[in-house]
Amino acid sequence: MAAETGTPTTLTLKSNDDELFSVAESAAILSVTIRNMVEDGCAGGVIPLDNVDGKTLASVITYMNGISAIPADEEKKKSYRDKFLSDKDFETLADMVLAANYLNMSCLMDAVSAKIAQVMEKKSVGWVRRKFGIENDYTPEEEAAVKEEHKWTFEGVETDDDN
Amino acid sequence: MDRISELPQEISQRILYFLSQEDAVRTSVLSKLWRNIWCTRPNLDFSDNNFKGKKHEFISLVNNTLQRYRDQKLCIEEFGLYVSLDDSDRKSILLLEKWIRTLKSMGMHPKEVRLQKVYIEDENFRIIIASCPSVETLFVRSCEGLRNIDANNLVHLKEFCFSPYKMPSAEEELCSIEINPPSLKSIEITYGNLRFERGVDFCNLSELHLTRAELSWDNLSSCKFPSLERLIIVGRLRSKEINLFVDAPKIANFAYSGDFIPSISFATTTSRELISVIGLTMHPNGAPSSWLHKLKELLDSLSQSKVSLCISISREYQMNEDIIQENINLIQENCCDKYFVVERLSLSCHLSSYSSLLNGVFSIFRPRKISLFGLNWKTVWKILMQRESGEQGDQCRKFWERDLEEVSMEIIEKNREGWHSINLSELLNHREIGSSIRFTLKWSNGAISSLSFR
Repeated sequence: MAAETGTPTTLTLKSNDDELFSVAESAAILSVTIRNMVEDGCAGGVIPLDNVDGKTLASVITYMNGISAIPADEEKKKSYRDKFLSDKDFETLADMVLAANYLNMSCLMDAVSAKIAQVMEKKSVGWVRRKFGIENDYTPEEEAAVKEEHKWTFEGVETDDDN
Repeated sequence: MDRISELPQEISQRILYFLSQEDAVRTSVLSKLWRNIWCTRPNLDFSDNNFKGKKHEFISLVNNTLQRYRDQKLCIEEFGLYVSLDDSDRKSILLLEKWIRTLKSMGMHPKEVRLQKVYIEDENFRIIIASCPSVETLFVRSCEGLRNIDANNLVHLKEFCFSPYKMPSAEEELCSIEINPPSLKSIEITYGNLRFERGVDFCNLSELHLTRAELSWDNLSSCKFPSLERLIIVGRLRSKEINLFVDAPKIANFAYSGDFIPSISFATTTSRELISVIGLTMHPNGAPSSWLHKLKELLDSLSQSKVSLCISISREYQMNEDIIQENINLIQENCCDKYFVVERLSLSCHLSSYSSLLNGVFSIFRPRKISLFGLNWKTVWKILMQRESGEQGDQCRKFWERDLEEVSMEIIEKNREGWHSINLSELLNHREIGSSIRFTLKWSNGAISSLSFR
């Protein structure tokens, strides 16, 4: 844990492409994964994060610093998260949600998941497939059967040519 | 494979967690991989508003899904259900009980129970409540069949709301309601009979809303409301009398409306300014002959408050000048030369009654603004300005006309925001129907008592 010297402890994080990042321990322990390492005394040297690349880690650290600078005010934290995620494309969001899952950061995980879910809201199956490039591997008969099973979910969906 | 399908299942389930039930289920059509991801998402959220099929299909969908979660020992973090059950769904209420028991066996404890337009009898309701000991919000709106609600054991209940399906007839007994006061933050009761002990401490209650409710006002007067900020009372014709003392040092808003004048007073408030809104509707058989006198008493007991007052006299009730005079005499007996200030006064009555009504109200208070319903402004203008037109004032006018220094008019128009002033000739040429008119009255300083707030 932080030494009682009054100066904030800094941790060094290493991405899987060998980039090094310095971050205040108080911000980094938003990640339960990192917090456990710190508590186990494994944080003396460099903390390797094997599942996160440098670009994503830089972004996650920006988030860690931003959110930990906000005092306990859920409204303000929420608006920071909304703003932080507003300009991210889906590829970036996918990287972030994987990193958040690996780092065990539930607030970031929830925020990114909600952001991705928002894209799918009330959209037709065809639209979601095209948006995310999902390949339809059902045969027409299989697809019709699945649709029939859940036909109540197809009302009120935004219309689409191949809905 | 595409990025979103590559995500580990725990992440795709978290994404589905944020979707509505139908959006989540529809992902099963995306591809074979997505076929069953929705089946194990950690929350269920059903609403028959979004369900276009038949009611029984919806009920069995909920039933089967819940059954499956239980059989597969899946975890549920959140369960939401919105379903309307009317008289024809009496059997379904039994299912509701069963579902709540199932959820309980899975370790879920409902925090919110909202029943709306449900036919439910006491016994079924009792079982449902007994299965939700940690419920914090209990709404029973427009429900039929209930005679007795006993929520005494809900020690975590914060919000409680009750209203019956239809307005009960005059003889009908109201649903009796027992609640546990200490945990409650907000109570809203319409046509219910609220029962509680004398001298109870409603220590967390911040809002109390009683619409045509029955209760012992005497008991209520003996209770403590250290957190109460808003008190709203709508009078009930049957009770005809309210004698209430409210011990609520933090009270900020008080509203009363009804067809009789209550007697309500507040213990000294500590800090904030109290805003009161009083609405009175007078019927020929409802208004006692000494209503002005009672109104004065009410205003006196609200002397630490800013008051807006709305008086509406039913058209059939053409007030007799004698009654008003009798009232005024009563008041003049304990005459004071300082008058209570009412911030806003709204008036509505038969055209022939305005003169006596204004004489009456000016004998007990002085309004800063008068708004009028309908096209009656000309009548009121004439009454207020009689002296300028040189007409002889009547007996009652002398009490107020010497204090009235200035009258100006304001209007709200369709395409302009807020009130703005207008003069008489403009107003006479004004053709727009439905504009609101109000008068701003300036009284000589010596005659009004200004409010002082600590």
